[in-house]
Amino acid sequence: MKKLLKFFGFVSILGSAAVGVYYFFFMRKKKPSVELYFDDGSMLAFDESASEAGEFLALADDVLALSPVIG
Amino acid sequence: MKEQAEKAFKEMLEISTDLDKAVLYSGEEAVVSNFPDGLQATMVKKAKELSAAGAVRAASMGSAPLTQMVVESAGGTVFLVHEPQDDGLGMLATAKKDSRIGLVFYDLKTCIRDAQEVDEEPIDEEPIDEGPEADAGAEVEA
Repeated sequence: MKKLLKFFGFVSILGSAAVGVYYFFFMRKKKPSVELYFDDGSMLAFDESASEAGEFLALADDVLALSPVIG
Repeated sequence: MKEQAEKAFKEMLEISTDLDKAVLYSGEEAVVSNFPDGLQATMVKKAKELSAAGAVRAASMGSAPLTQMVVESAGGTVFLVHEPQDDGLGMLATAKKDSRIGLVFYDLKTCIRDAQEVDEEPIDEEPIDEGPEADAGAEVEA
Protein backbone atom coordinates (compact mmCIF):
# COMPACT_ATOMS: atom_id res chain seq x y z
CA MET A 1 0.00 0.00 0.00
CA LYS A 2 2.80 2.34 1.00
CA LYS A 3 4.62 1.50 -2.20
CA LEU A 4 1.50 2.25 -4.24
CA LEU A 5 1.11 5.67 -2.58
CA LYS A 6 4.74 6.44 -3.25
CA PHE A 7 4.22 5.49 -6.88
CA PHE A 8 1.16 7.73 -7.24
CA GLY A 9 3.00 10.58 -5.54
CA PHE A 10 5.88 10.20 -7.96
CA VAL A 11 3.53 10.06 -10.97
CA SER A 12 1.68 13.19 -9.72
CA ILE A 13 4.90 15.19 -9.36
CA LEU A 14 6.11 14.04 -12.75
CA GLY A 15 2.74 14.85 -14.34
CA SER A 16 2.64 18.33 -12.79
CA ALA A 17 6.14 19.07 -14.01
CA ALA A 18 5.25 17.88 -17.52
CA VAL A 19 2.11 20.06 -17.58
CA GLY A 20 4.16 23.03 -16.34
CA VAL A 21 6.77 22.59 -19.05
CA TYR A 22 4.09 22.21 -21.74
CA TYR A 23 2.29 25.34 -20.53
CA PHE A 24 5.52 27.35 -20.42
CA PHE A 25 6.55 26.49 -23.94
CA PHE A 26 3.28 26.13 -25.81
CA MET A 27 0.29 27.55 -23.97
CA ARG A 28 1.53 30.87 -22.65
CA LYS A 29 -0.57 33.57 -24.22
CA LYS A 30 1.60 35.65 -26.46
CA LYS A 31 1.11 39.35 -26.04
CA PRO A 32 0.73 41.37 -29.20
CA SER A 33 3.91 43.18 -30.08
CA VAL A 34 2.46 46.19 -31.86
CA GLU A 35 -0.60 48.07 -30.72
CA LEU A 36 -1.98 51.05 -32.61
CA TYR A 37 -4.63 53.30 -31.12
CA PHE A 38 -6.66 55.65 -33.30
CA ASP A 39 -8.45 58.91 -32.59
CA ASP A 40 -11.91 57.36 -32.91
CA GLY A 41 -11.13 54.89 -30.12
CA SER A 42 -10.41 51.95 -32.39
CA MET A 43 -7.32 49.82 -31.85
CA LEU A 44 -5.25 47.43 -33.89
CA ALA A 45 -2.84 44.82 -32.52
CA PHE A 46 -0.30 42.70 -34.35
CA ASP A 47 1.65 39.73 -33.12
CA GLU A 48 5.39 39.91 -33.79
CA SER A 49 5.05 37.21 -36.45
CA ALA A 50 2.49 39.24 -38.44
CA SER A 51 3.86 40.80 -41.61
CA GLU A 52 2.17 44.11 -40.73
CA ALA A 53 4.23 44.34 -37.56
CA GLY A 54 7.56 44.18 -39.40
CA GLU A 55 7.91 47.86 -40.22
CA PHE A 56 7.02 48.96 -36.69
CA LEU A 57 9.31 46.40 -35.08
CA ALA A 58 12.22 47.41 -37.32
CA LEU A 59 11.82 51.07 -36.35
CA ALA A 60 11.46 50.22 -32.67
CA ASP A 61 14.57 48.04 -32.86
CA ASP A 62 16.46 50.97 -34.41
CA VAL A 63 15.38 53.21 -31.53
CA LEU A 64 16.36 50.63 -28.92
CA ALA A 65 19.67 49.91 -30.62
CA LEU A 66 20.54 53.61 -30.54
CA SER A 67 19.44 53.97 -26.94
CA PRO A 68 19.31 50.63 -25.11
CA VAL A 69 17.00 50.43 -22.12
CA ILE A 70 18.85 49.84 -18.89
CA GLY A 71 17.21 47.77 -16.17
CA MET B 1 6.30 76.94 -23.31
CA LYS B 2 9.82 75.48 -23.10
CA GLU B 3 10.00 76.08 -19.36
CA GLN B 4 6.59 74.52 -18.76
CA ALA B 5 7.49 71.59 -21.02
CA GLU B 6 10.72 70.99 -19.12
CA LYS B 7 8.84 71.02 -15.83
CA ALA B 8 6.17 68.61 -17.11
CA PHE B 9 8.84 66.35 -18.61
CA LYS B 10 10.81 66.22 -15.37
CA GLU B 11 7.68 65.40 -13.40
CA MET B 12 6.81 62.62 -15.84
CA LEU B 13 10.23 61.00 -15.47
CA GLU B 14 9.99 61.21 -11.69
CA ILE B 15 6.53 59.63 -11.62
CA SER B 16 6.94 56.90 -14.21
CA THR B 17 9.17 54.08 -13.07
CA ASP B 18 8.87 52.22 -16.37
CA LEU B 19 10.14 55.00 -18.62
CA ASP B 20 13.78 55.18 -19.59
CA LYS B 21 14.22 57.90 -22.22
CA ALA B 22 11.81 60.20 -23.98
CA VAL B 23 11.68 63.10 -26.38
CA LEU B 24 8.89 65.65 -26.56
CA TYR B 25 8.76 67.19 -30.00
CA SER B 26 6.82 69.76 -31.94
CA GLY B 27 6.87 69.41 -35.70
CA GLU B 28 10.40 68.35 -36.56
CA GLU B 29 11.99 69.90 -33.50
CA ALA B 30 12.78 68.36 -30.11
CA VAL B 31 11.31 70.52 -27.34
CA VAL B 32 12.72 68.62 -24.39
CA SER B 33 14.43 65.26 -24.08
CA ASN B 34 16.66 63.12 -21.93
CA PHE B 35 18.17 61.35 -24.93
CA PRO B 36 21.78 62.39 -25.51
CA ASP B 37 21.98 65.64 -27.50
CA GLY B 38 23.36 63.91 -30.57
CA LEU B 39 20.43 61.49 -30.68
CA GLN B 40 17.51 63.86 -30.23
CA ALA B 41 17.06 64.78 -33.90
CA THR B 42 17.36 61.10 -34.88
CA MET B 43 14.72 60.13 -32.35
CA VAL B 44 12.33 62.79 -33.63
CA LYS B 45 12.93 61.42 -37.13
CA LYS B 46 12.21 57.89 -35.93
CA ALA B 47 9.04 59.13 -34.23
CA LYS B 48 7.94 60.70 -37.50
CA GLU B 49 8.66 57.46 -39.36
CA LEU B 50 6.65 55.43 -36.84
CA SER B 51 3.88 57.98 -37.05
CA ALA B 52 3.89 57.85 -40.86
CA ALA B 53 3.74 54.04 -40.80
CA GLY B 54 0.77 54.29 -38.44
CA ALA B 55 -0.89 56.86 -40.69
CA VAL B 56 -0.57 54.50 -43.66
CA ARG B 57 -2.20 51.75 -41.63
CA ALA B 58 -5.00 54.12 -40.53
CA ALA B 59 -5.59 55.23 -44.11
CA SER B 60 -5.74 51.64 -45.36
CA MET B 61 -8.36 50.86 -42.73
CA GLY B 62 -10.31 54.05 -43.29
CA SER B 63 -9.83 54.77 -39.62
CA ALA B 64 -9.32 58.03 -37.73
CA PRO B 65 -5.72 59.32 -37.35
CA LEU B 66 -3.29 57.39 -35.16
CA THR B 67 -2.83 58.88 -31.70
CA GLN B 68 -0.91 56.26 -29.72
CA MET B 69 1.35 53.35 -30.45
CA VAL B 70 3.29 50.80 -28.47
CA VAL B 71 5.85 48.39 -29.88
CA GLU B 72 7.25 45.65 -27.66
CA SER B 73 10.59 44.40 -28.77
CA ALA B 74 13.27 42.11 -27.38
CA GLY B 75 15.25 45.05 -26.02
CA GLY B 76 12.40 46.98 -24.47
CA THR B 77 9.24 48.87 -25.32
CA VAL B 78 8.82 51.91 -27.54
CA PHE B 79 5.90 54.26 -27.04
CA LEU B 80 4.64 56.97 -29.34
CA VAL B 81 1.93 59.46 -28.49
CA HIS B 82 1.08 62.37 -30.72
CA GLU B 83 -1.67 64.81 -31.37
CA PRO B 84 -3.60 64.18 -34.56
CA GLN B 85 -2.99 67.64 -36.02
CA ASP B 86 0.15 68.14 -38.13
CA ASP B 87 1.90 70.70 -35.94
CA GLY B 88 0.81 69.14 -32.65
CA LEU B 89 3.11 67.91 -29.92
CA GLY B 90 4.27 64.34 -29.86
CA MET B 91 6.40 62.13 -27.68
CA LEU B 92 8.56 59.10 -28.34
CA ALA B 93 9.66 57.12 -25.31
CA THR B 94 11.54 53.97 -24.50
CA ALA B 95 10.69 51.81 -21.51
CA LYS B 96 11.65 48.50 -20.01
CA LYS B 97 10.10 45.25 -21.19
CA ASP B 98 6.67 44.39 -19.80
CA SER B 99 5.96 47.98 -18.90
CA ARG B 100 2.52 48.91 -17.65
CA ILE B 101 1.27 50.18 -20.99
CA GLY B 102 -1.80 52.03 -19.74
CA LEU B 103 0.15 53.88 -17.07
CA VAL B 104 2.92 54.89 -19.46
CA PHE B 105 0.41 56.21 -22.00
CA TYR B 106 -1.29 58.17 -19.22
CA ASP B 107 2.02 59.70 -18.10
CA LEU B 108 3.00 60.64 -21.66
CA LYS B 109 -0.37 62.22 -22.41
CA THR B 110 -0.35 64.09 -19.12
CA CYS B 111 3.09 65.47 -19.93
CA ILE B 112 1.94 66.66 -23.37
CA ARG B 113 -1.15 68.29 -21.86
CA ASP B 114 0.84 69.98 -19.08
CA ALA B 115 3.46 71.21 -21.51
CA GLN B 116 0.74 72.94 -23.52
CA GLU B 117 -1.11 74.52 -20.65
CA VAL B 118 1.05 77.62 -20.73
CA ASP B 119 0.23 78.21 -24.39
CA GLU B 120 -3.45 78.23 -23.68
CA GLU B 121 -3.23 80.45 -20.60
CA PRO B 122 -4.39 83.99 -21.28
CA ILE B 123 -1.68 86.59 -21.03
CA ASP B 124 -2.36 88.87 -18.11
CA GLU B 125 -2.57 92.33 -19.56
CA GLU B 126 -3.21 95.33 -17.46
CA PRO B 127 -6.44 97.01 -18.45
CA ILE B 128 -5.80 100.18 -20.41
CA ASP B 129 -7.01 103.15 -18.52
CA GLU B 130 -8.37 105.49 -21.14
CA GLY B 131 -9.13 108.16 -18.62
CA PRO B 132 -12.11 110.43 -18.16
CA GLU B 133 -11.85 111.84 -21.71
CA ALA B 134 -12.67 108.41 -23.20
CA ASP B 135 -15.67 108.10 -20.89
CA ALA B 136 -16.89 111.52 -21.96
CA GLY B 137 -16.48 110.55 -25.62
CA ALA B 138 -18.49 107.41 -25.09
CA GLU B 139 -21.29 109.43 -23.51
CA VAL B 140 -21.37 111.85 -26.46
CA GLU B 141 -21.60 108.93 -28.92
CA ALA B 142 -24.47 107.42 -26.93
